Amino acid sequence: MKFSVIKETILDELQLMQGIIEKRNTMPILANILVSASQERVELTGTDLEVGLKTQFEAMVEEGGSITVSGKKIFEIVKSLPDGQVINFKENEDLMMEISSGKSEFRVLCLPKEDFPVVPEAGFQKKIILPLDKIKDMIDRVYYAIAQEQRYYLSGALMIIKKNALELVSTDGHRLSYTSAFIEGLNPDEEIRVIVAKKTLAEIRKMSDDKMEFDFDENNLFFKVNNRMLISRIIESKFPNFEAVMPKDNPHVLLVEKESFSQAIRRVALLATERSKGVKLTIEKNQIKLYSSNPEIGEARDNLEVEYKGPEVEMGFNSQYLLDFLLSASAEKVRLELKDNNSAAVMRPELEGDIKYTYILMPMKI
Amino acid sequence: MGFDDVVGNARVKKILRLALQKNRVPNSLLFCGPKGVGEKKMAFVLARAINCERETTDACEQCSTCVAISGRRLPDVWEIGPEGQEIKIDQMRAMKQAAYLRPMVARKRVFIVDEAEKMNEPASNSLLKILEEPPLFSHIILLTSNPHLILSTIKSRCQVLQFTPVGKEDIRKLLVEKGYPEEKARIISLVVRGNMEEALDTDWEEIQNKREEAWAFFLSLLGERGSSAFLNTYAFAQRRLIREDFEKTLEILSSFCRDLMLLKERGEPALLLNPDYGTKLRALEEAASLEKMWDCLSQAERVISGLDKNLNLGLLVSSFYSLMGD
Repeated sequence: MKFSVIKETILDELQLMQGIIEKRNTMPILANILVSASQERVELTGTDLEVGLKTQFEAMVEEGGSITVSGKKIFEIVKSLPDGQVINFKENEDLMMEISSGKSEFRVLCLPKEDFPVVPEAGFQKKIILPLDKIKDMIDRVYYAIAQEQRYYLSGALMIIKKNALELVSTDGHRLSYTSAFIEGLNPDEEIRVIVAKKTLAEIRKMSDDKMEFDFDENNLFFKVNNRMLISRIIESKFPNFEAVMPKDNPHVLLVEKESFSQAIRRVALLATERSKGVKLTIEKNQIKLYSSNPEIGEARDNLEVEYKGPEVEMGFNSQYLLDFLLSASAEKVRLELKDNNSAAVMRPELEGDIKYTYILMPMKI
Repeated sequence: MGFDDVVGNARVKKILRLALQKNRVPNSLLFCGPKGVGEKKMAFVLARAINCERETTDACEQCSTCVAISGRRLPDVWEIGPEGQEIKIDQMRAMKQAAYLRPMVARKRVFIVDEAEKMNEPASNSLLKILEEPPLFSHIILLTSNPHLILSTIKSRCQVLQFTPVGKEDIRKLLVEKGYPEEKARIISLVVRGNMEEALDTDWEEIQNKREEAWAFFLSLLGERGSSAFLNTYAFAQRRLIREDFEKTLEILSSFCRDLMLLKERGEPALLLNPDYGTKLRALEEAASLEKMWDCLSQAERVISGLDKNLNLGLLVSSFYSLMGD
């Protein structure tokens, strides 16, 4: 294998690989990336147990072939070379990769390509094409509510593809974030429901283009953006029946200025207890009272004027959970829909753009 | 290396092949059996047979999947063992995370947990859910030589396969095939008591030295050389004893005890574990009572299990001696 390429072309791809390759030491081969050169193109493949990435770029290929090399080292080497330079890559007989540019030369130990796991391919026959920008916006709205802990069925977001609509849902058991978007022309044979791993969502966020192709097989999900393809192992678990959790009847509605609401929460949360981060909201005629107290430090109060005519409702919330929603909602005002002191609250941006966004938050006792 | 290349344990093989044939290999398995009887080999053969591209009831050892598993470079087949003294919860968490993901290349993921008795309690408990309801595409095989140290809650969730020591005849044949002379093969196959790995590892000189040492120990225990010899050799000099070696000495010692009991009860001489010591043993017949031999056997057993639990070697040996005295 022998090829040359300009630093910037390969650097971007190597940079993306850093997020993919295995950092723990479970399998040394997974810390490597597979470099394959053939007719004017070089393909890089990296994978850990969960996610894989295949990316291609054009290069001057003198001799085809493939080899695996430490993903971290090749990235560091390419990054350290001067900008705009041509870099030459060559495989030698001793299973080493020679990297040279100008007067700099490197020889890096490699592992044979046979050791590298076969990363599956997709045909993209289903012709499911999704607008990438919209999906990235949707991911931003569900990403933070993906559970951190050891419940595997919650360690990703549920993606539902149906006729003319795409939905993403995430939950960690305390809150649920739901987004849906109208996407014209989407017409799968049957409704698709898959859990997409958090890491995959993070990688999709890093991509940019106008569209993304989607495909799946028994074991994997495939996302193709331009010259790059993400392969994500399907998480085998049932996602909770979120439709059943969506409150149907929350009659007491009020609109709150997003900015002043989040600032008030931030102020009051300063004296909330570290662990629960709880703040108490008392919603009464035309005002919201915010209150927090920590027996070791003291207490804080704040007050917001709103338009509200319903009965008094007093609820405690985790302030961080409230802020997560307020930060990701893009409207100026948000709508709170409440039922009583102990039922889940529903929040939405006042004006819905082309992405519907609903946030359900369980109250806590304070 | 298919099932046929694993020596012994025909029953286990039969069960596994039947399960493979019906495509119903249990997802949670516990292999118990004495050390060195090929549990791990069997687990790896099973991992290959499950994933073999030829889809028979055995591993073909030729397809790329079988080769990759043998070379330990198939990312879907993991071997997990203790890190230091224990298997920790983080290792189990990493395993569980992978177990819920569909396999990368192979048909099934297989996780082989070696020395599963070394799982600490949190690690064991974290496995309960996945052992009870494992994903269809993941198999977890726990290996242990010490099943009573495995939590009962784990045992009840696994299909338990009991491995037996490999038959003397099987070991002898294997050793002869490997080029050992008949006589040596016979003695080694007797001494290792079904531990095949040990049989393959042993060096003849070493085993003879060990046996002589054990014989001296045995004699001193029977009181022929007086207690001070025993104390000098063993109780005070324990620092130079390497723990592992001592275990082996005790095991050989137990085999002498057993042989002596056999002789006293007029058993079949062909059953002697140490036929070459036959004459010497017969000379001792009068000196030792059955009770004493029985004591000695059970005390040796106790010390061996004590060594497993990291008890103080010096104290063990002293208590061994003092209890033997009665």
